[in-house]
Amino acid sequence: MKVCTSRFKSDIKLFGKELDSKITYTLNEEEVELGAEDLNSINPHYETEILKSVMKQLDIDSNVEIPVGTILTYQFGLKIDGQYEYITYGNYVVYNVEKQEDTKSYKITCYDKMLNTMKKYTVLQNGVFPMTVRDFISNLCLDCDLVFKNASDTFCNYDKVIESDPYENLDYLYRDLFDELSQVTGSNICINEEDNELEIRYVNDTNTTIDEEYLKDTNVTFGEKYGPVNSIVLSRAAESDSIYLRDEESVTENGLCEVKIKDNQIMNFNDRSDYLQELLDTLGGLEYYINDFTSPGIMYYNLLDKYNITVGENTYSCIMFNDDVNVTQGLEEVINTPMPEGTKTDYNKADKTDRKINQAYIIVDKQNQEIEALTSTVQTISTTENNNYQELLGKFNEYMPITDFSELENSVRQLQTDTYTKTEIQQIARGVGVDGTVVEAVISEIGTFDADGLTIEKTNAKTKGNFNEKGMTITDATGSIDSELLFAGYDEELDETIVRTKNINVEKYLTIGKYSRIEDFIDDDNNEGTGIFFVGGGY
Amino acid sequence: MFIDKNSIIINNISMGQYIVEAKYGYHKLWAPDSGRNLAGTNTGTLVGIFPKLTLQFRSLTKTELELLAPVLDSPRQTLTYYDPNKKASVTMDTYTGDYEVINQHIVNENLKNKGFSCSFISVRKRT
Repeated sequence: MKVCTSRFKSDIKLFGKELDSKITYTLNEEEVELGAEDLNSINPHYETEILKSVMKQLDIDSNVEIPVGTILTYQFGLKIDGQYEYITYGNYVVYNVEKQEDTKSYKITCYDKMLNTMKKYTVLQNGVFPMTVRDFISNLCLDCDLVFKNASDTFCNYDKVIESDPYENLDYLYRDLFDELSQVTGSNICINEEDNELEIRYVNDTNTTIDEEYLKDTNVTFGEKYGPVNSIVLSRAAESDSIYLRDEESVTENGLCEVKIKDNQIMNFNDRSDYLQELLDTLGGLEYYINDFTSPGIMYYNLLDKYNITVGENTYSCIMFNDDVNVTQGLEEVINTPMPEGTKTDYNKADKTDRKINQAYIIVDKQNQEIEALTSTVQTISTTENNNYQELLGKFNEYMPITDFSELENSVRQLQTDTYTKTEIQQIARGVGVDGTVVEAVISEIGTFDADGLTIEKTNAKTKGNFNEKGMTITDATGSIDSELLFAGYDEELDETIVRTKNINVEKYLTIGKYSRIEDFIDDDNNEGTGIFFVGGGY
Repeated sequence: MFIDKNSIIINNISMGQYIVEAKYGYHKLWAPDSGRNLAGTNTGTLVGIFPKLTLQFRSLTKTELELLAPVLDSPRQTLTYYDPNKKASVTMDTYTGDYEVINQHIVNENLKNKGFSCSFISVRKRT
């Protein structure tokens, strides 16, 4: 909350309040102060959401030109008992100045010192890896000519070690790094209004309540409640590889409300589960009402302040995420908090950690432009999947679709590791059954090339084939155990090359050795039979 | 408040000798945010109080009107008056409203213009 007296908080809503604005800056080593005479309008505002960095903006319509790059301070005043009490909005840097010839005034756009982070990041200029998250933020602040307010404080995941620079030459801005660090620390990173230092800011419960006196009688909307947050999901590789941590008790009681963090370059490796607990401790339980209202002026709440609004018999718990103040002759403040973007995680395909004996993961290394994937149990999984497909097909047959297949999905997947190559061609057909149930049939053709050679198999196929340096094997895939139908190659037990099969159908004749041939015949009496005939010569 | 003959001075000319009546207006200007809040209570910003003096001039000679006309016609005037709220003389920049002078005969030092009124409105709010 901004520093102000209780009289300020009560008088701001009164009829007949008198306002003032002051902008101070130094120009050519002289202190300049612009007051209400020079200022036509002031518009401080910011827009953000959870786990983002924030850059506040100040738009000024002034009769006096202020040069680009000037650092100015804005103060808002309210007359109390004949004297003005001022609250500070902090320092801003003049970014752009436009002359408005129609009104002969200047439209000046300013940002707070987060503007310093809007530059390209190539490599860290200060500090050496490995370093902790806190040290990383400190060094980034040094690069951006900012002071880190929390350099000696403890905060969420502050002591996690970053082994090497995860952002080197990725064409990020420093601002992008602070966005990701907001996710790592479970906070909003912003510039503090009082001391203009970079701050790791968390929700601040002000334990204050405002009522209808602070709300205009138009544009007042309160929506559903967001939260309580009870699940943290870290996903990577286009959300195909996710881990999570949940408060199961809260999920059962309140329903699932997840915060999903996607493709964070720091929480991208197989130690990322180490970050989950502190994130859940920080964000777990977060809840607030979605809102959108216009006020004749509150002015004293800061970013992430939590407060209550009472309207009639209803009390809404709200958090400041977006604030837009317009100071002209009068005052208007628009506050809104939209619903965060919804995410849906398939928890059946996620896990709580990457560190398991049977691993399956995929990491995108953007710096070296490589994809590292480990799928050491694919052989087992493919067998299991094949069995599942059989079950699906069995179920599908029980529900004959009454419509044509409404959906046909084809896909080809390739997975390659140092020891393994797998190509899967998949066809999924969906239709509507007699009872209205959506039914699905999945057919896969899989080719696997590994130490055992090339193995080809297909859903519902009666046989499976394998070809390697020892020979070719065809197995019967209809039973629960694959049994050999045909082997042609080197048999280690017999120590010779053979062709071995269970059943053989010879259409015309079978020659054995040099001298014998077995084939069908018809004798002079038109009797049909099968005989063994001598075919050798010199006898 | 007109407390002595020099209570109203405009552009260094004391108006006491030329007027028969002075009306003092203290007009409040409200900002566009004024209205009712959700509780039905009136709320809004007072931009300020803008004093307005309306002077009723007596019949003036040719010379007297020639002295005052440039003041009345100028875009800005400096006006000093006694303000009862401040309990002191207050100086403010003003602008004038329209004024009309009626002549029913030839005007000279003996035959005068008919009396007329003119208002002086503060450019800024009273501080």
